[in-house]
Amino acid sequence: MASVESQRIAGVPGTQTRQLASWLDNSRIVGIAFLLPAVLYIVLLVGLPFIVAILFSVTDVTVGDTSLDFVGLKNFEAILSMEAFQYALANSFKFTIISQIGVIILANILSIILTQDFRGKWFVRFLLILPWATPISLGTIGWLWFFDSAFSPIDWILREVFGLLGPGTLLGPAKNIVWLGKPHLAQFAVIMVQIWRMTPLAAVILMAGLTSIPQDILDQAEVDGSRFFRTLFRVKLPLILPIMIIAVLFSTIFTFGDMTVVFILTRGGPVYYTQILPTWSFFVGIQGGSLAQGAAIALFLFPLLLAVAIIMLRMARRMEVN
Amino acid sequence: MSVVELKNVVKLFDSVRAVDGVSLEITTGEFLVILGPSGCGKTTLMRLIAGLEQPTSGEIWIGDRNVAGLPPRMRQIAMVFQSYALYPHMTAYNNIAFPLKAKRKDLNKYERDKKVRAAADMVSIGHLLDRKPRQLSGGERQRVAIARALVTEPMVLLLDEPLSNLDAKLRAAARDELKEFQRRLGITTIFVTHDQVEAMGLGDRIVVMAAGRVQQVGTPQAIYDDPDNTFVATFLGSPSMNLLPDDGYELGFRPEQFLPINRLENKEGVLSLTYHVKRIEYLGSDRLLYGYVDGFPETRLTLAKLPNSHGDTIAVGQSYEFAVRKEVLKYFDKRSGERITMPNGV
Amino acid sequence: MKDVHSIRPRAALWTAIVFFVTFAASPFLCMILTTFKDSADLYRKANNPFFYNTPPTLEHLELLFNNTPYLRFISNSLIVGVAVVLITLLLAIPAAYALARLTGRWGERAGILIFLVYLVPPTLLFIPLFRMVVWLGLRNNLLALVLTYPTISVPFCTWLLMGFFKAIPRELEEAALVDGQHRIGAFLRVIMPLSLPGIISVIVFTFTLTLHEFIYAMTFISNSDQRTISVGVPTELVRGDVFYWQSLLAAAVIVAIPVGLVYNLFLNRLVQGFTMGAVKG
Repeated sequence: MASVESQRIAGVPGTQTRQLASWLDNSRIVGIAFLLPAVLYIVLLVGLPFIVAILFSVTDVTVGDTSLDFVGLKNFEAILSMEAFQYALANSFKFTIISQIGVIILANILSIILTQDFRGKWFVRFLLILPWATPISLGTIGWLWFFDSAFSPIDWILREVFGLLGPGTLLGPAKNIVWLGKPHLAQFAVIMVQIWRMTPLAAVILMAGLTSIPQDILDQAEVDGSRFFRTLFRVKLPLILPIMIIAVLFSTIFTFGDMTVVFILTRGGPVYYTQILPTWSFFVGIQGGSLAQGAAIALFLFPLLLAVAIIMLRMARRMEVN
Repeated sequence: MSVVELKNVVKLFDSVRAVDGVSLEITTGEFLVILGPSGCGKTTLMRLIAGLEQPTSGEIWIGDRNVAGLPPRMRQIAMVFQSYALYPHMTAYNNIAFPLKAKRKDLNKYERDKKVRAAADMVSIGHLLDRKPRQLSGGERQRVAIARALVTEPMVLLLDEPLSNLDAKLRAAARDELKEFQRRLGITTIFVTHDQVEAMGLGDRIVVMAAGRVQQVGTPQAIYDDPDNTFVATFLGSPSMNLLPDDGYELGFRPEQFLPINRLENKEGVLSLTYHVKRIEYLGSDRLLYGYVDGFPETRLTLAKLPNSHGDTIAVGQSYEFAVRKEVLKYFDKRSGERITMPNGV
Repeated sequence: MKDVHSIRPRAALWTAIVFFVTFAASPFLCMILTTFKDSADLYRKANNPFFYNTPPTLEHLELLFNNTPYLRFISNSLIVGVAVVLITLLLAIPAAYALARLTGRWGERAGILIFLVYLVPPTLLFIPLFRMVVWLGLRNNLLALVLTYPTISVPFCTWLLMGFFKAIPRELEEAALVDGQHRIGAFLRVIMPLSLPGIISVIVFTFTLTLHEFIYAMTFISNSDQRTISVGVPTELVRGDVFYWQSLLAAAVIVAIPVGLVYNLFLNRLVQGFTMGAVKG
């Protein structure tokens, strides 16, 4: 039986150790200590470059001339007058919007497929997410082959299997559709690849949403006499709307800010018909050496991203209320 | 001698006064129960004693130390949480050894092992030490939690509704065992619950709390027979005390004190009322009558609890002459709810 | 015996599956096939690209591994990957815990802010970062990538881990505090062991992210020896205007398949990160 005296716990620290102990016990201090490295890192390697980008855009800095001479809005004026810029800006939005529409439609269908039960599902799922899982540049290389101006397998099928290509045919007389050499086809190709690589991500997010619908609600729908498509459009899709918005938002950001697909597929060509803001920023800033102009071009990406951020914040707040 | 002392402790969460000026003295070896409805501040009070929250103002003393600013690990306390909070990735043995390793660095492996097994044996789980929490039943987990709390021989044992997750059948047995341990080991224990039956059964003293304040402190008998205000009067007792408004007061008497007049031996010194019975519940050992008293609206229910061993015939829709002994009547101020002593000594 | 009513939906399902699988995987199938095609066969327009009209050959694979820096690229990517994973774990784990537990309401706000940082794309920051890299003398140095890649992984991984930490009941940490631990002890001894799934997700996501990244690798490193897979393969395997197609496609598919397998294994966890908070349990 323990008496009060013997209940003194051995090792109760004296004043010296107590001071040290207090620091490690204080949740606020530990919290700040834990948070600081990440915050510092982000500030230095995201915040700082962001400010520098703005700074660059109003100076004349190039790869050769590293002095920061303030030039006001001259860079922006110069850019806005270039025809390439018109295309880059328009294409950035065009490619993103059209590919997102494609992604939404396909991802919805795909997510429904993925929530069904069938044999070999794991393997099928593996094949279906390959486009997203594969490093962007490597996946795009595959499409580079598909769209090759001489040996495209697609051309071959159209030519030899369906007889639609070649002299005297519907799509003829040339033996090849030079996909990446014709402005509209090249644009189509870029959009196609973006849809191809983004659909799996969106589908998988939607699938998570579908599987999180409480079974009670689905049972209720069945009891109410609703069958497959009715349940789909009236019950399931409305319920996963918030998640769909998130999927689209992510997909939009990844597409809008991506330069890899265009770079590998067309280098922005033919001429500048598939140029987008990020690739053009790269060509002007790094390959051209005009850092200031490159930075200015890249900054045009910001308004859209800001809009996306605001939408997501609003959504987050609304869902917290729910 | 008091082992825990609270001096006017206040805890604010934003503008909510979770604990609103509580002062208490808890004596060594006492089993103190803090009783109250959810949101009354009892759990917050316990967390303040444990050091999981810091008071906004006021002092907390454990042993003879003001524990302000001291983290939980330095307060010589142990706690059993409502969910037991067993570490899922550790075996029962390691769960119990965990605090011992941290707080008794002076022990070597063998001494530690002895203590762990002793604690486990005390709660009869010596054979379960190799299992992980998910392999244990609710009752077994509860015992591991208790063993873990006792193994460091703390000065104060804190229990946060440890029985509420048990099946009803286990609860009574667990209550009995708990009280036995406490008596044997003599550890000062603070037990938080919203269940008044538990409180009455376990507590040496009960602290009744509501809205962050102490309503009354006393032995179970004192609290039941001598409530200080209408809250305590109605919170304890199942069903609650009847309260009838009377001329600026509230008149209180318990259902089991409200009997057919011919059941009372001494017909003098009684308050008799005509009672109209609306509904009867047969509860096995008793009958619970729902009805209203003459002079009060039909919706103002007054309850009477008759032991069935008396064998009175009561029928629904009939009226009877019921009575209460005047000496058990309680008078409460209508506005404040405080108990008033009537001039004629009642 | 399936009744008639269930045959049609099944057929529709499988038709859809075949369509999507063809769309998704045909580039890869083609890549694998083409790897072994003899050049004389491949570069004849009339020949069927999906058959081996002349016997398959391993020479292109030999070319890839022996005559190109491909293996170098792979080792560079691995080095960068491991280093970035370590840095990310060191930064994101404590930050996520701090935000999940140790800070109050401003922690929630800070959490959203961290996530918003994730929305700032590398294509916006690459020019100033390029200047900074040059200024630090890290041009053509893998260290430049090791230093900058966590800007992409840390925000998302912090957000991902926040969700995991929040899911651990508070009472477990409180019990640890009563049982003699200080804050850091409770974190190391109780929280960390229980967060293993989350940490694995972070490792997988971060590592594959370093494989995907293109623009920083393209901008900071122009030296063939220091290139990573993502940039090395499309640039180095093209000599002048000549594409060594078989080796090129092989190079791509050799990396794609394992990454795809890993993604498939960890898919549920990764999606959790994207939808955290949206799919309220």
